[in-house]
Amino acid sequence: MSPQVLVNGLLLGGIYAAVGVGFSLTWGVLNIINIAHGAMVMLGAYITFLLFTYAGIDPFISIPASMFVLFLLGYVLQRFLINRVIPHGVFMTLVLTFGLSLFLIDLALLAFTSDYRSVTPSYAGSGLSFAGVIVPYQRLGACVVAILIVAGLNFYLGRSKLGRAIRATALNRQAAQLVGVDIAQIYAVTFGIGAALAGAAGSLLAVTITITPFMGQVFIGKAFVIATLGGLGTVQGALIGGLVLGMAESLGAALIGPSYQQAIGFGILVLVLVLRPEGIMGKQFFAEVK
Amino acid sequence: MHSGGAEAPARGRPDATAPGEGAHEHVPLLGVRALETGYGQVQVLWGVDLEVRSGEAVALIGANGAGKTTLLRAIAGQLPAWTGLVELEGQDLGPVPAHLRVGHGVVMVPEGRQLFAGLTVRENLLMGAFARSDKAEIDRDLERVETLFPVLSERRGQLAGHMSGGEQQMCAIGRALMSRPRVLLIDELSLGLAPVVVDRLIEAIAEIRRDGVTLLIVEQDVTNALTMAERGYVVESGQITLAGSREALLADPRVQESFIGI
Ligand SMILES: Nc1ncnc2c1ncn2[C@@H]1O[C@H](COP(=O)(O)OP(=O)(O)OP(=O)(O)O)[C@@H](O)[C@H]1O
Ligand SMILES: [Mg+2]
Repeated sequence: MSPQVLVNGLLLGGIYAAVGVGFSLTWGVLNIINIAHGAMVMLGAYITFLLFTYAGIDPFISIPASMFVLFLLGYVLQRFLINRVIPHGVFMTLVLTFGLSLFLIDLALLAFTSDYRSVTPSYAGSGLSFAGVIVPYQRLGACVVAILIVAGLNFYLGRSKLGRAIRATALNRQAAQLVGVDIAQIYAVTFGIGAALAGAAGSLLAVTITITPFMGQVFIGKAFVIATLGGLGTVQGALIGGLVLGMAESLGAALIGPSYQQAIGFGILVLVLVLRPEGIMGKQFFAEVK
Repeated sequence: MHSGGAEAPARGRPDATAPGEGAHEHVPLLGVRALETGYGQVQVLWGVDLEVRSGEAVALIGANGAGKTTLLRAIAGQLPAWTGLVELEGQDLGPVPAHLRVGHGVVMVPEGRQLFAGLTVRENLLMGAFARSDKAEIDRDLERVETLFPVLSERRGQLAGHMSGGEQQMCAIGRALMSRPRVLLIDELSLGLAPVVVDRLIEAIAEIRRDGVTLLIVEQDVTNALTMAERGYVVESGQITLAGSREALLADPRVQESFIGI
């Protein structure tokens, strides 16, 4: 098998990790399955597209901007909308985020039409080449930045006071409230972080795939696989899950055929659910059925 | 374990430990007035009145399902009062949401400990100080808590969920102390713990008191309860049916019959 297949799998896996980590965080900590995550990825991609097309800003430089905008969107949505239905259980939040997803996509259709868009910086199309393996710069950059973002999040959640409060809230909401944590605030911040990560992933995808209002939809299924594969709510889990899925899709496409890509991902999901339902990196006490 | 009362800093806020002015002397630190509350449509508390004065340790005694936990949760703000008041030094806590009551010094050790099982012991203690930002004081309190319960220092890197029941209760009390309580509410101090551990906890409670913390303790074992507290209330079916000093309660035939079980 050609080393190119492995390299492609790795590059894909890095971006998948970025796509999955926010989804996993929101699910694991808040017990919210955010169906609008894909639409948020799409918004991040359009922000990068707009900044590149109308202001000439490099797609990688626009990442903080899309993270910031998506954080605000996520924060406001959680604080004023989703928080209101949380007492009614996980199904209601699922339905609500599904509705939000449709809403955001329609909004993008109105604003940007369904035309295909792309972001093509000067270095698009060129890349490293060694021993017959080609590594396009955009894909390499996207993968590296994705992994940096995931590592940064892991560090932040592990070391900061807010990160500790987020983990504590995930473990025991009542107890968190008793030590003075404003649960509604932590939920909004966490959902905001999840949305910001979706935005970052969208910016990274903008340089590697075509941008349309529907581009995020395929990633909802993938985010499910990544989060479950790695272990819900853990950052390392999303990284492992993303890399495993990327590698599996790349290998599968080479060995069995590209049309089986989706089937391979969900096949792995089913296997993991049967063999190791807590995920590869699942941590004890986290994301246990509440 | 006694570190010497002279060194021990008053754990409560300075204004709490010195009820200097005359007007304040008659205002209890914690006051519950005609409190009624419950869950959904189901009323549990029916007009509860209770007072805890600064520096006191008071026990809450009652059978299973009497409403003790419900009362503590209402004081901590986890359940809203339907009618009646919860007051701190005469100030109505009604408008203060649960997460802000900690900042007023109302802190609870909940039934079943409710530790953050997947966080380390040290992280649990630090979560107790979540509402504070006085770094130096937090470090001092951490040291104080680890002197009180040395096992929390030895196990600082261990996940709280992997500790024994007694160690978990120590961690839960330590976490609460890290919030700098003025009044500490403890729900079921000794439930399910070995007698030797319970003795250790009772000693610790005495020390916490010496540091100036006021206590309201729910405790199944009436003898234990009235070892720690000099006064108590008996709760039955959501009402206070008896109140009195340690001696009066221990001598009361109703208490002897219902709780000491001869
Ligand atoms: N979350 C809840 N929802 C509905 N009813 C509840 C809830 N918690 C307690 N109750 C009811 O309220 C009443 C008082 O319960 P509470 O837990 O306050 O009693 P308790 O005195 O603490 O008992 P125990 O000694 O068993 O801890 C009981 O009848 C109980 O069934
Ligand atoms: Mg109880």
